[in-house]
Amino acid sequence: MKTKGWKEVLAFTFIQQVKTKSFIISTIVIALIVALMAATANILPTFFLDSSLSGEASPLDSFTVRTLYLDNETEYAFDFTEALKPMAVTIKPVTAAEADAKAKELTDTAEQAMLTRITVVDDMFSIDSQYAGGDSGVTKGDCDAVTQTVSGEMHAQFLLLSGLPQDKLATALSGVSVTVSCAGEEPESMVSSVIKSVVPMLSSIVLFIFIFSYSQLVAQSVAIEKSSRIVEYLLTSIKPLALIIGKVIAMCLVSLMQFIIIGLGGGLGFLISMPFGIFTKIDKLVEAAGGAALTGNGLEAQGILGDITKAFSNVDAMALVIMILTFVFGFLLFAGMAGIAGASVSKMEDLASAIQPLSIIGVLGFYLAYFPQVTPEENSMAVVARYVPISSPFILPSDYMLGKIGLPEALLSIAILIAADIGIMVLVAKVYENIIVHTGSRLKLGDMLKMSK
Amino acid sequence: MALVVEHLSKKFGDHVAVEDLSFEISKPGIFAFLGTNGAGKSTSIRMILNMLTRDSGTVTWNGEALDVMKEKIGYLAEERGLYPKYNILEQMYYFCSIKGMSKKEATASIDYLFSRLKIDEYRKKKADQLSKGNQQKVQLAAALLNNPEIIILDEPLSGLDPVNADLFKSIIREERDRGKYIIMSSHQMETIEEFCEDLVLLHRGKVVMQGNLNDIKRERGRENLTVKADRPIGDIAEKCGLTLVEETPNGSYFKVKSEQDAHNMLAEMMSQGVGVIKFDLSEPSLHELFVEKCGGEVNNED
Repeated sequence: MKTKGWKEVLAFTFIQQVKTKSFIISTIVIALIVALMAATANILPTFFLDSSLSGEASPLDSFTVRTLYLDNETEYAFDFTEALKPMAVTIKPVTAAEADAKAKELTDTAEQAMLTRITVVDDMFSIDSQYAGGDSGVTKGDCDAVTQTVSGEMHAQFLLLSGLPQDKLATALSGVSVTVSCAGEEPESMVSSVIKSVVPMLSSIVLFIFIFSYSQLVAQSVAIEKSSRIVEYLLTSIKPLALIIGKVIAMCLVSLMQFIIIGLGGGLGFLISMPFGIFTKIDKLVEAAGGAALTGNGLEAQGILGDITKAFSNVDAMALVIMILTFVFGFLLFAGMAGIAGASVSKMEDLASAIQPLSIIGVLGFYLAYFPQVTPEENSMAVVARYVPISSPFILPSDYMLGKIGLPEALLSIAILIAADIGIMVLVAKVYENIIVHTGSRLKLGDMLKMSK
Repeated sequence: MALVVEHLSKKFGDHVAVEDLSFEISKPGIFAFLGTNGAGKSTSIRMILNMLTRDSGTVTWNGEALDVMKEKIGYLAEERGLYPKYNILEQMYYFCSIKGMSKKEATASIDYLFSRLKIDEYRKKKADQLSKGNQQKVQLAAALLNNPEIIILDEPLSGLDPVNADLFKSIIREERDRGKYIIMSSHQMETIEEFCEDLVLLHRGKVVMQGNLNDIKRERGRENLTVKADRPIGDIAEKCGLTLVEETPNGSYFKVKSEQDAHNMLAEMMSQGVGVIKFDLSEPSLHELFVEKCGGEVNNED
């Protein structure tokens, strides 16, 4: 049997590869970096949320603002009593001069108070709030909550005072939602659009690095066996086909293992940072709002997370299966070619020139997958890239996860990739046996095919 | 049991690497496979081991086509190799595993061979940390791991110091005495004469000499005459029709056309009262036969 012994080759190659310092160090370092990046991506937005929301509002029983000194310098007699009643805040109107004095007083006081000035500059309302310092204990978040309430109520009262009917008030206060989309397609938010551009690009780069670098290791491993002449010894016990199959599968498993470890590192980083992360923060804000809808940046953040979740709505078990299949079969394709390249040399110094054609094919495949993803619109290059075996491994997983293609298209692409794998393995079987013991100058493809006849 | 090689041929493009090579090893022992550099020895060995496709010819073992994967074959290649960066012991276990040996069999074999070859202390080293000689010992151990019936040793003694060369020789003798079929290629003719009864000599891919070494020598007859006397003997040699080939401190060396010429020379010396210190009439050495058959032109490609 031509493949007898491939499992022993696989086991040996796998163990030796994962034992190398370069593998251990690179896996640990990259996994840590990815974990750190995931944790940072999770935690970092909460700081922007904190600063933009000016902190969280306290629950009502521990609300820190008790008195609002209100300096209304407009011509409108706004009344915020009802609006601030749930917060149990007492309103004390002050004049502009008194407001100046109060502002100084609030710098060092124990009174749980704040000062709000409402002015009109160039036909535009302006609200300026200052909360008490010193031992008052007033928080920025509570001051912000009162100010937001005043602002919302002021707008409502202004519209009513201007003659807007009560029943039109809600409509007038709501923002204007603007979406632009292609007829027949679901409208897409900006966040979703960004995700759909960035994720495929990153995915292409990561897959390319893994598939390409590990397939080059196959070439290197074959070349080492040839140049060290160990291959002649091995061939007294094992067929060349078994040797290359065991080696390619071993390298595939090593790269897959590293890929998964790094992915788990990212997941672990995200999980560990979860209590301090953006999702938990949004949940807390929603809880603090007592079931009411979030406002301002909280609402915006909630919307962004919703868009992210929606953008990855196709990420399920099937997506992971497709990703792994694409990775494995993509690897087999490039590793098969690398095996032939490695077998074509007898000296290690010839290896770089032997794998040059493979590099060109790999880079070509990568750019064929990469360029269509830079443009947001679906284009014919993307369609081609999905079904050409040298590029499909770099574009298929992200396209499926982001819903750009469905399951039938993904399966068709994988089927074409498998057919290409079979083709390359047949070529490997035909060529490898005949060139593996060749010594001398590097063989060109024409020489290899001639020798295989 | 017999290993029979019949009509092996191989061409690389227009270059004939091996042409119609046939030989038979019909009993256990050491068979010499000789040739100049580039004569086609390694190509022939690779064809025998089925690493290279043959243009023509067959190799049978016990009357059936030799199945390298099935039979126990030990091979020490001329250009030897180990994985430079891997642990020696792990490499040995790997070799055993692809030869279908169990862990227990592997351990027993490795323990025996490493002890026999005095390389126990290098088990945990990497190959590139070992001297060339010790790497060679590890490779001989690798060739003998599965107690092979057929052993092919391509230049087994090259590069070894005398102590290790003797160690290798003793192991080769042991294997021969165990009834192994051994094909040995070497450029050290003394070693071949020491070990081998039968041989084949290749030159430019063709067989130029083949058979039992003693028979070949016997057929040629005793033609080397070395004489040392207590006075110059040039005049006597000339009278007997002998041409001086070389004058050395050990005596005068002549090539004789027949043994009778030598006898005439001795008789003449005796009649003239010459004191004979040394009179040695011998068969040609393998070295001489080799040079005679392949001399002058060598090819450095193989």
